Amino acid sequence: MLMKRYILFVLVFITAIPPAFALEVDREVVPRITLGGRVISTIDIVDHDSDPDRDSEINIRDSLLMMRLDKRLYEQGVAGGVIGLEENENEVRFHKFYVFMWNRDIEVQIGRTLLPNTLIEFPTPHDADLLSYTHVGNASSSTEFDQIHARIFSFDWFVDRRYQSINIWTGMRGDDTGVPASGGFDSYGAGYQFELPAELRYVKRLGHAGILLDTQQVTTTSGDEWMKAVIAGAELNLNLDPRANWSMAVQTIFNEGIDGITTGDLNGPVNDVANQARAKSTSLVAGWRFTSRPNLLTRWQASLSLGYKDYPDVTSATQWSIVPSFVYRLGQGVDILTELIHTQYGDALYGGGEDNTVQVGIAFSLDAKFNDNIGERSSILNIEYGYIQ
Amino acid sequence: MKDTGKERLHQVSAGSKRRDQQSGRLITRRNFLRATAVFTGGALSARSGYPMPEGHGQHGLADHQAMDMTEDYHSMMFTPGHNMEPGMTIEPPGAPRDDEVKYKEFSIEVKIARHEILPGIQVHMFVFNGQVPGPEFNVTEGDWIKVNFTNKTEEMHTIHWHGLAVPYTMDGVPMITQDPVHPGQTFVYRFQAKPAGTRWYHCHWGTPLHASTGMHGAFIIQRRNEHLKERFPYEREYTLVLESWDVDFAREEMNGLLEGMKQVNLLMAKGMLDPMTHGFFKTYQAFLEAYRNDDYVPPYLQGRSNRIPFRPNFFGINGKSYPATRRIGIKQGEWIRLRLISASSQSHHMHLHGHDFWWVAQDGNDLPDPRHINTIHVEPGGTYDIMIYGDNPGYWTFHDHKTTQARNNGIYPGGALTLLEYEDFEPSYVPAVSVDQ
Repeated sequence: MLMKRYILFVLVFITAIPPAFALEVDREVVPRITLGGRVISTIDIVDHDSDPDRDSEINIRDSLLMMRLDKRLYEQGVAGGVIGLEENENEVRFHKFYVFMWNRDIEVQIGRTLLPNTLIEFPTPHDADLLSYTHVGNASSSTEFDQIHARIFSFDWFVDRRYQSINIWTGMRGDDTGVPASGGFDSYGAGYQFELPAELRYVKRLGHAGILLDTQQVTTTSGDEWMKAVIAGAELNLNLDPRANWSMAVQTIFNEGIDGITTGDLNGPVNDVANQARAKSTSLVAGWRFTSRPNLLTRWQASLSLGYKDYPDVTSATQWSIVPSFVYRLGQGVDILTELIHTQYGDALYGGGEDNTVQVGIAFSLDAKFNDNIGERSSILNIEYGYIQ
Repeated sequence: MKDTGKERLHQVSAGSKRRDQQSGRLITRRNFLRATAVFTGGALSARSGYPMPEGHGQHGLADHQAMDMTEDYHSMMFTPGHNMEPGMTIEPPGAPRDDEVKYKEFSIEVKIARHEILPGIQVHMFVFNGQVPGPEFNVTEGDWIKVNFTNKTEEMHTIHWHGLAVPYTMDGVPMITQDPVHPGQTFVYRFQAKPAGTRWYHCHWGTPLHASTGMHGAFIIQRRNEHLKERFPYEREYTLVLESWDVDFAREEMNGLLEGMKQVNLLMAKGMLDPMTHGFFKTYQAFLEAYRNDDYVPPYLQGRSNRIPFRPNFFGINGKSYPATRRIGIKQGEWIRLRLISASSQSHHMHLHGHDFWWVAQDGNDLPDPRHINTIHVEPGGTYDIMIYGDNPGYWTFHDHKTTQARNNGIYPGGALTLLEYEDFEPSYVPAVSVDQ
């Protein structure tokens, strides 16, 4: 009897669903579709004392494909979702998988996307070329992916509706095996940014500046600790000529770390990256770029980036890098690029050795909209790492 | 639209002061004094016409060599140290000086405005005097016209006088008859209003965006004695400017354009704008050489936006789509004249219910034999005049019979649709409004 009632209930419930949908008079509206992507492939000649087993290779890291779908809301605003695939360590991973909602005042994102653990984009072809200097490290993972991406909830309030925003976020940093991790919401952050839109890039001196606070939970043998880092940076034009533009960027990160990190931890064969993130450190990066834009069309860019990092709790644990790069634009979205990365370590890091990488390659980027009916806040590629302006 | 409250651009005169206030145009003391002179002397001048210099024949072009101003006029773009400062007033040669004829003087400015096509559909457009279409000129054949055109945007513009026999220096085609009017500059157009008929004006710079969205308006040149009134004794006339908009194209182009102009204006301000920066070449040969030497990449090789197709999704009459369009009034036994102007990039096939009408003129010129029809095929850039006789009281739609253009963003009814409304009868049924059939 009970079973009959249950079956009857299920049948009634199932048959009730279609009429409920039929009551929906709002016709399906095709969303705006934005397709973005980049194939960046370089031949890397490497000689690394920090990773002697690493060989020269054809590097396709950072190659990605993204699709954004969004619609207008009944009230003011736009909402949608982004799905992104990225090549990572010979695998394809969903590096973007988030929903968003924005209007002139706020922007909300929930899902996997970029960690707000960096402020400034430097003119290196890959976003990880100066990773240990430019991003607050992940204390629970040594993989490159987990240094850059995470599942987050972020809320940005554009206080003047234009250039200034206050940002807060919470998230779940990734963790890999072998490193103690707390799980759950293990990260929080807040900050303030001033950022001019692209159309004023060559009109004002100061293009972007801000300060961010990043906290993450670190699991140690003695329990959980909260580790804090402060990121501050700015980008400015050295001249205001849009045809031949000089600009520079600078960013510093102070990471308070946790106590007890030793020289051995920093040089560990497996978890050196995570342990370096756990160590108290100060890093400074500066980059200069010259962009040649005859007829206001970007043709080539030359840049020089310098990085310096110090682990004050460990004697002689310093490192510095110099990274010249050159990008020549063959056509719209088609670049030939080359870069040299030289890193010198102090005596306490990798035996005072050095890393050298030479990259030569080609990148193809696309950013195409279909069924466009929404005024956009930014290009889809602007949510990715931008190596050329 | 005459007699329906639509603003018109009238000559600067004491008598037209009220309208000038409505349109927000400032009248300075100097302009007022000049205007008074125009008002008192304009009619005589127009009647007598401008005395033609010998050798210039029927076109009536003034003697260029006799004009002092010609000595200072040349293409700024290719002059060393060319000056694009805001505030400059450009007075080209080719027309009589102010003291040689009595000008009717007008002021037009272009700026960006948020124009509402329909409730909920607002589009940023370049517009003349803050309205779409721009103010209507309504002058008499032979009048001497002076238009002070001020650019209050960050983009370049011109005005082309479509269908008017103006001196070529006043034709408003950038880089062919004049330099574009730069931000903050004033360009003075002077010409004689001729020939009579339904003409119009529009921007000729970036025409697909500028002219097709907002920078267009009617230029009506009345005959002193309109012989059409003998056969069609009308008193009221209406101007209907037909339009089509791809509002997404307009938004994307406007955004892209303004972004680019930020940089171009910066170069201008610093005196660093070289001709190639914006694709200006003195000759075709110079362009060819720049291309072959890899000094210049033509923008058409790559396009500028993701918008591949241009697909108008809103259509209008006098800046509005149905049901926001204004109705056409008529009385029983009355003749009215409709002046149809296509500022649209599309063909419009305007059909009137319940009536045949007389097609009497095309492109401003009378047809030898008026045709009795009920659907008029309006092509881009053309003007068409029809006469309607009020002999069937009621409410009658007048709409584009390319019915996909009687829609708003794909929703019927809408677009280029309005009503012919009899004003003097008792209806048994009053029209309601449906926005989704």
